[in-house]
Amino acid sequence: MKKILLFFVLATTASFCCNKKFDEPPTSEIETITANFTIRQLREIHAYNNIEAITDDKIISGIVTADDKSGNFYKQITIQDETGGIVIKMDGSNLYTDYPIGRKVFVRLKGLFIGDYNRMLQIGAGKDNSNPAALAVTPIPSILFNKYVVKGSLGNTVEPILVTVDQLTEDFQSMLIKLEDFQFAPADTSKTYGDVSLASSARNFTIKNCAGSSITLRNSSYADFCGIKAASGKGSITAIYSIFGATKQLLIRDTSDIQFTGKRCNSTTLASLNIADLRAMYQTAPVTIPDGKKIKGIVITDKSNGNFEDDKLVIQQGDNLCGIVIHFTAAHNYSCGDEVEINISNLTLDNKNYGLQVCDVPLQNAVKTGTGQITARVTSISELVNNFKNREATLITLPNTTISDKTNKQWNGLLTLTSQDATLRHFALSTAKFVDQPYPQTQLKSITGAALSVNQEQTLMIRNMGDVDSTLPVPVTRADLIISEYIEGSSYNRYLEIYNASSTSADLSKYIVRLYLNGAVKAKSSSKLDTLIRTPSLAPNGIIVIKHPSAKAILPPGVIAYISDVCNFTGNDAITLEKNGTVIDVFGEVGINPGKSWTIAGNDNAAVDKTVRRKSGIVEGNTNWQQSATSEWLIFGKDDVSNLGAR
Amino acid sequence: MKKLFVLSLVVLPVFVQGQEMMMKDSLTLEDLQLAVDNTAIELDDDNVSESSSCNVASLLTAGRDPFLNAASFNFNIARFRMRGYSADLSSLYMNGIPMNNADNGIIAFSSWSGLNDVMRSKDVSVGFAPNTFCFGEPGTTTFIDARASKQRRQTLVGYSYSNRSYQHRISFTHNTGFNSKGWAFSLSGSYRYATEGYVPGTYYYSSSYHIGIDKRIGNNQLLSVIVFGAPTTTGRQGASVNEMQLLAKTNYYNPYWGYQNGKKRNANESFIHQPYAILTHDLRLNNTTSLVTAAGVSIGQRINTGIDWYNAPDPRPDYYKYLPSYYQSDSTLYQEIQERLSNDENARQINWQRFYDVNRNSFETVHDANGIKGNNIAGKRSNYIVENRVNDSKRFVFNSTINTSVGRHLALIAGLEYQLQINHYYKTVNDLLGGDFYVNLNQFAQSEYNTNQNAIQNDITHPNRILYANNKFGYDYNMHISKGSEWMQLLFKFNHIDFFVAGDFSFTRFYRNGNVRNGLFADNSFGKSVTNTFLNGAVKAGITYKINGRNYFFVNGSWLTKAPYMEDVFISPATRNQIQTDISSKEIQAAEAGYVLNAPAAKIRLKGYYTTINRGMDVLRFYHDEFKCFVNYSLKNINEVHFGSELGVDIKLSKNVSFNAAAALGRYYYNGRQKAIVTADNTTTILEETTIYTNGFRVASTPQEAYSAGLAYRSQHNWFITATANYFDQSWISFNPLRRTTSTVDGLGNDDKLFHSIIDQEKTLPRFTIDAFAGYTLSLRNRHKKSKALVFYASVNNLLDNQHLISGGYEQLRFDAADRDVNKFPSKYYHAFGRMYFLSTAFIF
Repeated sequence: MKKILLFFVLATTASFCCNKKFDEPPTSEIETITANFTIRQLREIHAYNNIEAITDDKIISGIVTADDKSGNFYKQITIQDETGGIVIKMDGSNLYTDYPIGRKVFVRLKGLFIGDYNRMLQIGAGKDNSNPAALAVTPIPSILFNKYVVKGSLGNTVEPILVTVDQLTEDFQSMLIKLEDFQFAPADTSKTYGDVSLASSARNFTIKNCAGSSITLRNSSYADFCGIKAASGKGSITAIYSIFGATKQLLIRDTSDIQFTGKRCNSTTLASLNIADLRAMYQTAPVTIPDGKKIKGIVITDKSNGNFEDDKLVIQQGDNLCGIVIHFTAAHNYSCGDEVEINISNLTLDNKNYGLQVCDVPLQNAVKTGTGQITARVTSISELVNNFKNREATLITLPNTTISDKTNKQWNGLLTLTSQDATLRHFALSTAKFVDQPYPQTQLKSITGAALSVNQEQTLMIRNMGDVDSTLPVPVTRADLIISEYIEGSSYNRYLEIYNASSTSADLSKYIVRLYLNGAVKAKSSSKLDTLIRTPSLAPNGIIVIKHPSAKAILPPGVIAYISDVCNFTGNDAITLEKNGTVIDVFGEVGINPGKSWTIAGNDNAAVDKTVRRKSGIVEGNTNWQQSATSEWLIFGKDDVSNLGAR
Repeated sequence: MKKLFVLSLVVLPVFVQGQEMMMKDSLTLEDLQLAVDNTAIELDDDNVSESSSCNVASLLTAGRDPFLNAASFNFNIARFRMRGYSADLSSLYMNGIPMNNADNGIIAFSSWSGLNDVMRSKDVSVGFAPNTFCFGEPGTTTFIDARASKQRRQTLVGYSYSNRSYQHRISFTHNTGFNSKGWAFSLSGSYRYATEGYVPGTYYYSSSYHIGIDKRIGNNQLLSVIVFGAPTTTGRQGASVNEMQLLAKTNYYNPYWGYQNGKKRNANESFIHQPYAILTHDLRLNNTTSLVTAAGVSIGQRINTGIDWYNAPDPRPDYYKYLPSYYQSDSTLYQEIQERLSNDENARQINWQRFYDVNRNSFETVHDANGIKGNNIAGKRSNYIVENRVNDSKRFVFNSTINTSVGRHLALIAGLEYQLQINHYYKTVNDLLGGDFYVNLNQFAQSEYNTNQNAIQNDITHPNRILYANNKFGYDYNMHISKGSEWMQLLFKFNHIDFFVAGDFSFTRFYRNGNVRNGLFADNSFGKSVTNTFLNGAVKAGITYKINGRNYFFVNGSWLTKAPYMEDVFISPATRNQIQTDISSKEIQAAEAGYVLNAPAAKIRLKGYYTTINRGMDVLRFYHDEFKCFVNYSLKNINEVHFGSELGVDIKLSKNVSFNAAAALGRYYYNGRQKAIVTADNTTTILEETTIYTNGFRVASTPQEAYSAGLAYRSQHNWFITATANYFDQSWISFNPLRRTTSTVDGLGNDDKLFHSIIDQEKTLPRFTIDAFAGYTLSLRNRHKKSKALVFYASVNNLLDNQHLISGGYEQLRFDAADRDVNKFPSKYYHAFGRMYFLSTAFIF
């Protein structure tokens, strides 16, 4: 009896005490294989835009020079032997866990294919014939990695080959190379390595050395370093050499490949020049600005609202200080309120349209140094007119002013501003967003704009509707997000475009789009915009495109459409845009079923198999659909997605 | 002799697919009555969580119920749930305290798994029939009396051998009965194990213990204490897709294991030990009044292990991107992968060797480790680990019941109950698999919020914490649940009519308390959530018309509300305090009526029932590899209707032969449309809010029709043999609610094939099984005329070895909305075991 008892006490405790640890396995042994083929030999059997099946028992070996650890490479590794490098496409994520940089691998080629992606050679496991104009190889499935890509020893190093850009021939493809004395363009040093917003899948930079030789650096927006700022100095870059058609480009493994730590080329220190002194240099003829000069000011023009040409801007040094027009060689990227420093050494100062200006400024001469705000000088028209030479290119507020013109009562073209019997011209470019809107016809509390010599005549140019302070409630501008485009095309090609018509960044967590089906008063689907696009805010003029889950249209390059059930409309459904629970814009009328389609601009089939765009002048939502449908929309043909993502 | 045979019925356990119960026989009425009264039903842990219990027992105390007998013995293989009810709609009391977990309502069977020998004394009521210890539930309500003095005075040593979840079972029980000083003792234990169970890669190690002491005080008081527990470690089985089962050429393909150094290692182990101590005071105030007061305490732990990974490929061997079907566009590759997976077992199973290789080569420096600026720790950072998902549970229960008679016609029973349960959920590192450390980061947040350093921190108060084996990480929170109720029942008895009325009033209160501040939900992950309080009421009434001692008619009806469970209210308790909106109690209305015949040669039970369950809630959770995080479907407005009939027949054909049959013919539907809100664990906002078109969908995971018929032969020479045939139909697969919305079928006509492939619920094939049982008792007497017996017993279930019976399954919760391809994330299935045998012997003295 006692023995039995003892036995059971032991048995009872058995499952506590006898959980044995698993034996730790030794590290896998390295298979010993010998390569019988070189990467160069392999490359030579390929003809561009062709795919060759490899049927012989050929084995190449190489050392991994790039993996996907940082995310700059995706579903591929690059290997290199003494004769060259090549890309192996592999269908998996986190390949670096098995194939890290420095691992020797042996590739059993029999059964694999070699092809090229825009002349970049790749090994894969199958043919992708979906686009006959660009045949490609498909990646090796995960389950077959061990069969084709045999793991060898770890910790091998590949020394990058020191080259110059001119030396880079196709033989260097997929090889680890190194360039010395390169740097980012000054304007790029304020950018991050990648596009954190994911608006585009990659960001290209042109990097240069001091002698002016340049090459493209391409970074994936999915790389984990894409939020880091580009290095500001000069130095060496180690990278995988890649090509895209005729473009030479570099791909880094991570940011430690960029050693731009030295002093930049030609980094003579520039002396700051007051804009007043700069203006004083001009007498009657163009002058060349001396070497070593820079100016600094805050942008007072608003390119985003279209009332200034996109290659020009006006900076003002500070409140009640001077300003000047800057004329770049190409379209610039600066917004109203940016603080900009511009190298004006050896450039020309001339008096042209808009007034005194620095001409032909290369974009890289400017760098954004911060943001700021200019308080406009409050004055009268007569005072302004009398002191225009000193006031040119500065921000002016004119109180108690009335606008008048010829006939159409809209902002476009030349208008006359009147105050206390004095007059001044106002000018709006045809590209201005507000150009089709009527201007207030009663006396304004004030109007603000840049004083400029348009066609050598004294003129004021407002930037946006925010510059017009009306005592009347009529034209109160509540610019906000609006529904800017609606597409109900073939099959499920249904899209909706939301546009930030305001001049401020919109907090997307406040906005919801809802869909009401067939006259329903309860929303069928709703999408919160920040959740939908996984971004908290939308910049001024920013655009969100959303689509039906099965929408298949080919969108303009770079346009990303987010999937939402809100795009489940068929033509007779209402869509609302809500901010903080209040409807601010509609397409269609909630609770009304119009039958087959809404009637827009007199077309009773306008919401079916059509693209419907908000007129460009519309910058605020309209919750009165009857009114909005009559006048605010333009109708285009079926599946016209050409303007999606643009406004 | 007869006594000995009865004894053998009482001591022999039967195992049916992890469910242990009293063996079936149907020979003499007395035997049967005893056998049913002593039926021990037990569920293993997997069954409790994946399907649910079917604790069934006799309907009326007037005699044994042949339907329940069939349901408990024959229908279990098909995971039959009586009336289609979920597990929480049945309750169980032991020595006076309720044994349903407060967190999910499920009976804690695993606490006394393997202790059948001392858990036999039972009182069961079904539906809303009156009982003597609690208000009751719509399903069954069971009372187990496990007190030492209630155990038969005997010593038992047993051994069993089987090919099911476990192979060997040894057991021992010794009961003293009362001695002259009023003490009684009971001691019982068992050990059951299989190094590999029926399913490859599974194993089972379970011991159990039970100690009971009773002391009689005076002649009207009994004080009892019992302590019991059953520490159990198992290697689990995972459901799998048909494609993998075909490649593995077995329906028992188990994705959870892989070879390590030539030995099978299971990545999904479970350990559970939830011991109880129960103190019971039984006071007889006078001849008609008794007061039973009990208090119970349980402190236990439950651990499930799993693989966690960080910036590494998905370790699951059946991940859909690894399968041939993912390469359908390239027939050569499809075939090549198919060949590899069907020829190489290692390719189908977990690759432990690779985890070690990857971890050992993963040299990394963690910056600002443990939240200390400039503290850089370098070493082998594991990409794969085995994690423990731990639930430490504490439960305290108090219950008091008074039972009295007033005159000849009225019996009054009333009770008070209070319970408090605190669960502590957290994860720990179990095995670093060759690496030096792991880091407490949330990989699900990393890709979306890589600019916000806080988002990826599981614990922003201790950022970048370096983890070694046994360190806590990930989530860490407590759930506090308290519940109190009072109830009363009046039972009137007259010559031909019995009727009763009963009422119950209860409160339930629960809240979450987060112990770490999660980087993604910094504002509502730490500290106490709102307290959810529910007040619930219930009433029931019934009448029985007694034509004579053999024929009865009865009708019972009830209405009740039931508080929701915390797991259906908290959207993602692992990450935050957020709860569903518009939380409401469930409302249940049930009615049943029946006819009972209790004649010496024939027993018949015929019952009909109609039940509605409204305003149910649920939260479904799954890992979405494109969002790279867990996605939660919060469901509301779940309405069900259950109706059907049950028939049980037991007829004595001759002196030795009896016939029995049972039929359960039910229909369990979802009524109306559910509402779903979709959220993800890496953002605070609602991804989707939609209506689920569920009207007419079937309640899944139980056959809605089950039939059995059997013959039994019993010899006078102490042996018996029975054979039973069973047939099951109308079993449905659990469906993915988000596939039943307007958007998934928008533009498709309802005569479209694609429409039906998306919308239709899958029904599994009907199935047929045959079971056989036999037993023999050898009576031994020594010189002292002390009775001893040696008992032998054998059973075969699923005699025809049918391995194609789907016993459970579910649609994956992901749906390929873009291509509307239901086969991209196909359903996963479990299959019922094939032929199972069980051999047992016991020595009783």
